Amino acid sequence: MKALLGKDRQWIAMFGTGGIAAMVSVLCCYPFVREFVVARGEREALFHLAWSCGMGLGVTAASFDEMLGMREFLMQRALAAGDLLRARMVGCALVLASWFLLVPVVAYAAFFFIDPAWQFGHWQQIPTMWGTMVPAVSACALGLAAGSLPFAIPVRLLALGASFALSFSVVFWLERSAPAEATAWPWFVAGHFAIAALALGLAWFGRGVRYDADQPLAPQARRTAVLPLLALAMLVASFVLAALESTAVDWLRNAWPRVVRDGERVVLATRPEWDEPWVVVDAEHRPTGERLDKGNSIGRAGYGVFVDSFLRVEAPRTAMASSQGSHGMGTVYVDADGSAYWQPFREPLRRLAKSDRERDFAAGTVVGNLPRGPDRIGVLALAEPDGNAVFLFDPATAGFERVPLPDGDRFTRLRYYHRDDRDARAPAAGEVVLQSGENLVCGEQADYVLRGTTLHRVAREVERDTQSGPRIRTNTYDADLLSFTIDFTVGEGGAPFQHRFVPRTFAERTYAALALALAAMRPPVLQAVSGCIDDPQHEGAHNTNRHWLLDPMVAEGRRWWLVAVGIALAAALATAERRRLRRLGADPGTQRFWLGAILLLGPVGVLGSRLCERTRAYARPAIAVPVPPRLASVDSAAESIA
Amino acid sequence: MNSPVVRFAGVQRWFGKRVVLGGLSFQLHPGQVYALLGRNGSGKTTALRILLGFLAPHAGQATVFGVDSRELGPLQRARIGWVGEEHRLYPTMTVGGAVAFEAGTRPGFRRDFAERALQRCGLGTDQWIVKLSRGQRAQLCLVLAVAGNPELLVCDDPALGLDVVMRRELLDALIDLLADTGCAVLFSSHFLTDVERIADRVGILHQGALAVDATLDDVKRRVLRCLWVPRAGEAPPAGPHVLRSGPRRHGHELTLLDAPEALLVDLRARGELLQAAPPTLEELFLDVTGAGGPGLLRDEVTTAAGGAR
Repeated sequence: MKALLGKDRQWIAMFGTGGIAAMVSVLCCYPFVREFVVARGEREALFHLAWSCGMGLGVTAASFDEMLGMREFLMQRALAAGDLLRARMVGCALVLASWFLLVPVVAYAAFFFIDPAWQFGHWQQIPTMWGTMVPAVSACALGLAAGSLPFAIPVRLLALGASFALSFSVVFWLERSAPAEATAWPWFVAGHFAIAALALGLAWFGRGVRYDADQPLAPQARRTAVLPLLALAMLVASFVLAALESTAVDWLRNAWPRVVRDGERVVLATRPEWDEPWVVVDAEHRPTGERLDKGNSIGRAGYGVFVDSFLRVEAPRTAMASSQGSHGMGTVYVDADGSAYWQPFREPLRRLAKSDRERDFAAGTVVGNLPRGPDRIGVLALAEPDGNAVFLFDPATAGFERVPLPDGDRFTRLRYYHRDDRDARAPAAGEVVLQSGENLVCGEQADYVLRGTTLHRVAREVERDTQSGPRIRTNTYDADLLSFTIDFTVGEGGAPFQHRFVPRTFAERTYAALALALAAMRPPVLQAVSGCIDDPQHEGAHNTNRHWLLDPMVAEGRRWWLVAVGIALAAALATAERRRLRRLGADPGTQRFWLGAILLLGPVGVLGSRLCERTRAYARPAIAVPVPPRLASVDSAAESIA
Repeated sequence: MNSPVVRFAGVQRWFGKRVVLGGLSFQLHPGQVYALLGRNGSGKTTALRILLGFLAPHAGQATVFGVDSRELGPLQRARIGWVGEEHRLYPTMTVGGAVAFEAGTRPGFRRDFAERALQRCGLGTDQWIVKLSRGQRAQLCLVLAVAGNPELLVCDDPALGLDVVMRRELLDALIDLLADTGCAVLFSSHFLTDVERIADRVGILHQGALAVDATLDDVKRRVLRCLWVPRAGEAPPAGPHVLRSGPRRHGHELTLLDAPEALLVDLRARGELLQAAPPTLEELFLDVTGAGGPGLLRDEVTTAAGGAR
């Protein structure tokens, strides 16, 4: 182990020092108080740097020897394959441990020199710092596992990219499933450690597997390398097919006519270009020849499906971020727990007390800059949630002046006011004229503005109404990706309008057929699951975001025939592929493996089989029958064999 | 006879449609020095890679110490020394680091032996490997392989790319290092004079199988090379003892195997027999692998589809 770690010490040292330097640099971009004293909303730069450094570490650990051409040299050591992998894991663990240990320490020390606000103590934010760095562990494990795959480098990189995007997204949705907007740290950390454990487990079980283009894959390689890759390929294919299907549905939606209002009349019409007149179509979507120069499109017909932005690689967020406000003399920070700090420019940090009797504010207290009058000279004010006063900060005494909200109102939030000329109206009696760009104190009953040392009530903003006419509410029902019914009534007592949108013209049918064909190519196993799930959003929903994994085209058993077509296609492909494998001379186990894979995954399985079971691996070139050499000494193997 | 250290039994291997080994069979016994010869691309390196388990054969079996080469474990590998043709070592290490690495990954590694040998070769432990010359790297590889106290040393053309002086030094080092160790050596080489200096036995790979698998003594004892000038109208001899007959300006150059006295008497009777002497290894190699080589020392082969699987 010591010798193997010695061999790896270059990359261990490089990633150890490089990673620490990079992460400390990122931390030092912000003031000491924001990194170590008060809670940051999220550490995005640290998060992205941590996982990218971790991934680089894992990939380097896995491929360092191979890049130097030392693979066979290492194989010829008196070492088991597990020893090598274990040493790589230990090397990665050392680097990761150095990051977790030294990044906060070095950053803390660096702030001592660069930030006058540095103070001893304040360790409370280190756990969130560590939490943000945890993805380095999972990304490192993914890099190590993908880099150890016994396949060509492009395949490894593809596997790494797909596994990274998918696993990080899964963790994102897992921890964001909690009702709070903030990251559920236990889920976040556990999720990333689970990814790491899974990746390292796969790397461990596949440690002895080698790839030889001229030999069929070993059963162990199929279990440890091909199966996970097939699972990944299934997810990637689902994503790609969902995107293509969504595009086809979008084309169909654009090909459908729109519902257009022409005075009191409602018709279906198309308009190839936005500046051309509407062309009225009949119920079968055929042009009638009538043109409308004007007309309001009531609704863009459609029931769109969009590939949900499932792939999410985002930094974790703390439950309650700190609040801060600045003016010419310095900055006031209020931490999520209500502790307040004052940092005058180029001077040490000072802890603030709410009053002589009370030290901390309530949790969730916010700070903002409130102008005292039209001259816009502001004062920093703190307001507690649900409190009945704001606290004006006096930099000279580092104390607060309590200003109650009028009429016993309770504080809800601070709001930035931007006045639009269209909103302008004369203030009511007793109301204060607002300056555009000042902060308002919002109470439960009214909004307030600071003038001097008193809060004054201001007029509520006028609700902007930019509708050119009364809104017409349309009802959509019996909705599906390729068909839906729309009905509504224009005006009081107007004639009801109803139309069922289905593919009617050649172009519409072509787009619908394309969408169906793409759906039929999705993995049958996922299609079968899709057919069994509810699609609660489809009724009346427009442009709904959907998960790409399961197909809305067949959800709720809407098109079992399409699922059956997918299965039949998979069966046909599986049979053809089995015939090919039999012709190549693959053993029955291999044939069964791919038969099952193609039945479950469809065309993705065929692609996998074609890539893994190459004709070359089963080639049997003509070979001359060997004969013993005529010039042979006694004891030659040739003689003994003869 | 002891059980063989290395045994190739009908090993076949191909790359795509190109057959490299069509049924390689030979044995290596303890203490023997076996030189595997052949032209470029004849399959020497492939054979050695199969032996060390880097490649799997398509048919047949290669064993080391009685263990299938595909299943070599740390215990067997500890008994094998290997010097590759590219003399690969970690460029990120110093000579001392390479010794330490070797000591850490080979249980029987003799560190003092390695240090003495390096001193003799003029290699300092603080020299960076990346700065060593090709010859120095070859020497270092050899020292490291031998210091592991192997029972089998496998060298894949260790002198490739070295000049004459370096090659000679490497060879001397090899002879020095192996003196009295009883280590079996299997090496491939293109330098036949070197082979003649150190090998006990040679195998000449040609067209995927051995055309010669004999001791050097046997080569010298059983093969006779001569120039025969026939009298007018006399045809060159043929038969199982005539390995090769090539026309020359004044007669025929003959290579005879196990030539009986009667054949020589007959040749003398039908013409003039000149320069009858055992061939050099180079001459034999050219006879086997040069123009007219195929089928010269092996019986004519028949072609069959597919190897045994």
